[in-house]
Amino acid sequence: MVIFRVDDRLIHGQVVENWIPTFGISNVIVANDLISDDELRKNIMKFSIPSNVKIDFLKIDDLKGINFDEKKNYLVLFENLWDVWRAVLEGVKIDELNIGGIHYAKGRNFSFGKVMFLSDEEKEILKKLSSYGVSVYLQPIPQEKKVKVVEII
Amino acid sequence: MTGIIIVTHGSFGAYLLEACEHIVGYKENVISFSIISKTGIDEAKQSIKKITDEILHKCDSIIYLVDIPGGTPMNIVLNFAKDIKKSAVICGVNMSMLIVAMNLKDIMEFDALVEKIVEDGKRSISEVKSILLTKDSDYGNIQG
Repeated sequence: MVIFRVDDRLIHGQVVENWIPTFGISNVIVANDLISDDELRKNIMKFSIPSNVKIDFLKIDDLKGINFDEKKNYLVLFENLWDVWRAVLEGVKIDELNIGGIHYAKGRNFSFGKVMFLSDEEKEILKKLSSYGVSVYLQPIPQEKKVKVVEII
Repeated sequence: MTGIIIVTHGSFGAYLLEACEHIVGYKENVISFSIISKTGIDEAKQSIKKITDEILHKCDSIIYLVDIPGGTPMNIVLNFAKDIKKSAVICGVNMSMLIVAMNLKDIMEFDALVEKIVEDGKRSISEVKSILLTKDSDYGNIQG
């Protein structure tokens, strides 16, 4: 099983205490160009996750090279939608995309609930993702209901 | 199945529960009670007794999570805990402890759960700057 998630906080409480145990995640992949070269941020993330969970840091371009082991449960974390879009264009196959949190920043004039704020450009990306067959849903924690993003933007 | 009752000075426990629900979602049989200065001690006792009875109606054990050792919340709940065989009173409640309690209360056996809450609470207290912000620190994981 592979869960793809966009969350600008990447590794934080909801991921560590909820997504990882709820889905028995064995491997976390942080897909981010900057973090893969940032020893400090990598250390902080390694510190934050349980010791029995493997964590890897990959650049977006390297994602397409992964062979996901069917017996393992992966959580792939993206910081933003631009990175997801790049990965999809590179050929990474994403059927479903979880939105965990895209917080307010200037220019993000559309909002839904407390944790999803989008700029016009991000809305466009979401529409393009949808046309590529990616089903995008908002769900900060597994206990909440999935909200289909394409229906609200 | 274990019920969790959080009792604290002021609204600390109510906000603590709210913060934890933000992370792990709402869970049944987790109740907080705030002892505020307006509430007299007797009134607080009565309310906690009521909550305790409610929980015991649905759960076979109770864990009380309270704030400081020796404080009023601890003193009050000890009075109830002494008459409930499968119960525990744990001081020093923090987010790590409440989260693990909420996550495991329906799956872990009572004694092991109590131990786990205490352990995780202790482990969550650490000065992380010296661990993480030192040059060349390649630190494995301490949680887990």
